[in-house]
Amino acid sequence: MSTPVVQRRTGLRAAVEWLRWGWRQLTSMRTALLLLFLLALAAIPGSVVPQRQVNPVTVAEFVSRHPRLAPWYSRVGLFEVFSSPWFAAIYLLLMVSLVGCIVPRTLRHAKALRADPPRAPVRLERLGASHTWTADGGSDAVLASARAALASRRYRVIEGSDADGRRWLSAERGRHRETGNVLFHLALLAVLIGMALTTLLGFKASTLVVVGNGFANTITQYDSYTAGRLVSTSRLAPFSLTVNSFTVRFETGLEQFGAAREFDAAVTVVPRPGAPAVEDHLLVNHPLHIGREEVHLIGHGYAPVFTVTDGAGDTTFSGPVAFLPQDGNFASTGVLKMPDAKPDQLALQGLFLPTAVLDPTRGPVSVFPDAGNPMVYFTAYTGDLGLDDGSPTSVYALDTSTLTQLSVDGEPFRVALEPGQTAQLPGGVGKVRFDGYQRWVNLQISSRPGTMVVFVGAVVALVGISASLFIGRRRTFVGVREVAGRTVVTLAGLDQRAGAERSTDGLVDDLAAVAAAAGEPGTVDCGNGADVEQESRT
Amino acid sequence: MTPTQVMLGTLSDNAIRFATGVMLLAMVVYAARWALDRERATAGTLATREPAPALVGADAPAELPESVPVAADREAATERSRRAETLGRVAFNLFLLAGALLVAGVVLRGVAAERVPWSNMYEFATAGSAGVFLVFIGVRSRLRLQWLDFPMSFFLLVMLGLATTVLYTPVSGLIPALQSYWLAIHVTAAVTGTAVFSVAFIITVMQLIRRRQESTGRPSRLPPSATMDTAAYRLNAFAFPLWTFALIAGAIWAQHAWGRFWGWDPKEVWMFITWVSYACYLHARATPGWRRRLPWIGVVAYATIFFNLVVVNVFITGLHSYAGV
Repeated sequence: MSTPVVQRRTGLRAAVEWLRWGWRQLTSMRTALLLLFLLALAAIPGSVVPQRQVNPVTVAEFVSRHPRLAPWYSRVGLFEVFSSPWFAAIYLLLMVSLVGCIVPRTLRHAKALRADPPRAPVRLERLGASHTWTADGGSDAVLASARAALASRRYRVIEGSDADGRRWLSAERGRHRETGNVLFHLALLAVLIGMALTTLLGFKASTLVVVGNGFANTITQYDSYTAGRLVSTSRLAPFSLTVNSFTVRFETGLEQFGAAREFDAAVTVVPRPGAPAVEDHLLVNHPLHIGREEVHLIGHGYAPVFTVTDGAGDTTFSGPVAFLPQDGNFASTGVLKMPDAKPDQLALQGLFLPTAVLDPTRGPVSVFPDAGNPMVYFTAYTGDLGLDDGSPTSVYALDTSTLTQLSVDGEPFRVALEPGQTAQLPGGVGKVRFDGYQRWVNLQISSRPGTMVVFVGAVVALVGISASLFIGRRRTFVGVREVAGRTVVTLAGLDQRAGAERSTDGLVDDLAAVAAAAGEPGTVDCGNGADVEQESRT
Repeated sequence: MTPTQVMLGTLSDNAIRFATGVMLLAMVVYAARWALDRERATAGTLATREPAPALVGADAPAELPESVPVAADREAATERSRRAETLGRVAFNLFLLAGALLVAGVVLRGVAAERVPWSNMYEFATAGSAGVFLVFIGVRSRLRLQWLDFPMSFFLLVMLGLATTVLYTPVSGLIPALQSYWLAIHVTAAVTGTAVFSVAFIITVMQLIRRRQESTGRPSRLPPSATMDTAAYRLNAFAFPLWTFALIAGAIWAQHAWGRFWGWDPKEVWMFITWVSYACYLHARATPGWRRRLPWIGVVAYATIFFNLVVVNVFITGLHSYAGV
């Protein structure tokens, strides 16, 4: 009857032993080191393979270029390295290892902080650096001045005596080297927690606003929107914003000709319904802060202004149309859809060139990003635009499958207009006037709760790592013995930087200062001796 | 750009080209001195070496070195050491001159461009080299690095050579994304950190060479590899918080400019990889049994900085594409 119980017990004990062993392995320095290496290694594909989270367009390009490789990449999460299970496994293990290591270490250090420095060893001359001399003053005077010198060098000092009549000082400094170390690792945990918060609670959206128009911060006004799991769209800050003007300036000098030099959007913000309007400027490195949300200027482009009159003589469209830039000189393409045109629905497919030049080989191109010689080229279509069945269509693309392209003498109808010019469409279906251009800006609205946690954690980590690397942890002992009416003083020191190669510079300075204060007439030579010994030891 | 700016820019270009030339001279003189030293070290060892025990077997050496130094040899050795000292002084002065010209060139570039002169790869390379020079001069006597003069002049010559030929970019304005005081904070911290890591890296490479010499017992004028290890560690440990600061400053800037403090942009990924690599280095030093691998970890960690500067800047597009190459 008892045998199975015993067996179960040993089995349990074995399991506990295994767990304990596993935990010891996981929280060991060596495992932490290996996990750190793995973390660095695992991040590499995230910089080489296009990442969906960074730029979905490049991922799509990669997929179309490598149709056989892409599914495999996708399967092992190479397009989403930083949210892949294996990357998470590494940093979660690292985090567990960190917690397992740092919690006991914190407790031990908390205890050590309250403890006194240890008693002075009996044979001080055996320590790495030591020096003995005979002082003139009594032991009281020597100890008092040594104590003062140590205190002024920020040592904690205790005094004691041995049974054989020796009196000693034991002094210690640099305990906060370990405080810094503990703080650094705890702060890293705070950074990780903060990052998790920003991912869960944050969102990012973007919207395109033509200059002169406004925008109210609701989800229906966004062109794109990505949010963390715990975000509620009903809690968006209820602000509205009008872009009054947008100033751009590009390099006109020879060097970096055409490079952007200034973007400045003048805006009027109503922080919440009924609040007074505020004038502000939105620049690339100067976002707007409205409540917990931030508005960034992340792009811009041109919106040519058209007036279209249909075959019946009615104005069927009038206003700016956002075109999307295709190159660095802002050659932009766009589409006009006029479902109300009579007798047939009408569409234009256009190319806008801010500084148009007719290139003999490439045709019409833009040679500068600013509007030096704005021109619009377009072709026209009639037929069914496909807008009536309610399915969503892009405002930037035209599905020409149900449309007929207008043509003249068998050639597709194509026209180039300068601002103010009007073109008659063939077959009397209408006319198009190019009134000029407006600019548009792309705004990013985002909220990152938890950023402050990350920031504070990072700053504490920085302070902690600096303390743990720069504070020198040292012990200094002074032993005094009265021999035949004279005072024999022994001074000794230990440099105990954990793991670090010991540099004795600080210790030597300390010992020299204490010796001078305690009335050593000569120079202390333990510095060099200690140094040589240090080098030969390694 | 005003004519004054153009003139200052040209002046800066000339100062840096001149610095490159003087650095080449310094390196040549250091090389001469090094050769003399080597000759001296070999002569010295030969003169004092104990006669090798007679070996039995086919591979016994044909001739044994002399065991007693001859007076003429000793005189020649003194003469050689005097010449070596003079050469060393000349080389160091040339090195200082080259460094001064370089620093002047970088400052002039800043005055010409009316901003901090480290916003593209040419400027990062020249300012980084100036930083390496200043860091080296700052710690040279403190860490007893006089022996590093020659490798250092070689490293700086390569950097300046690359900067003035492959990477050269004339003075220009900044795109709006870079128009922020964070450029002065984030990139300055990154340049300084890179400079300190570079000095540590050169020491580490020499340490590996020295370690090989030690294992084969070859004579050397270099300090023991353990001393080099200490110097490299102290520099890396100093640079690590600087790098951490650069990373934090970069994150704050990213929050300002793009509305997110971290977005795994390739440049960010590699800055993170470098940070983790140096964390490994510091960890490995405190881990039993890892001390011998330490210099290699240092080399790999430094390689990640270079990867970020060269490969990420030139071949990978991201939000940080400001290299101007």
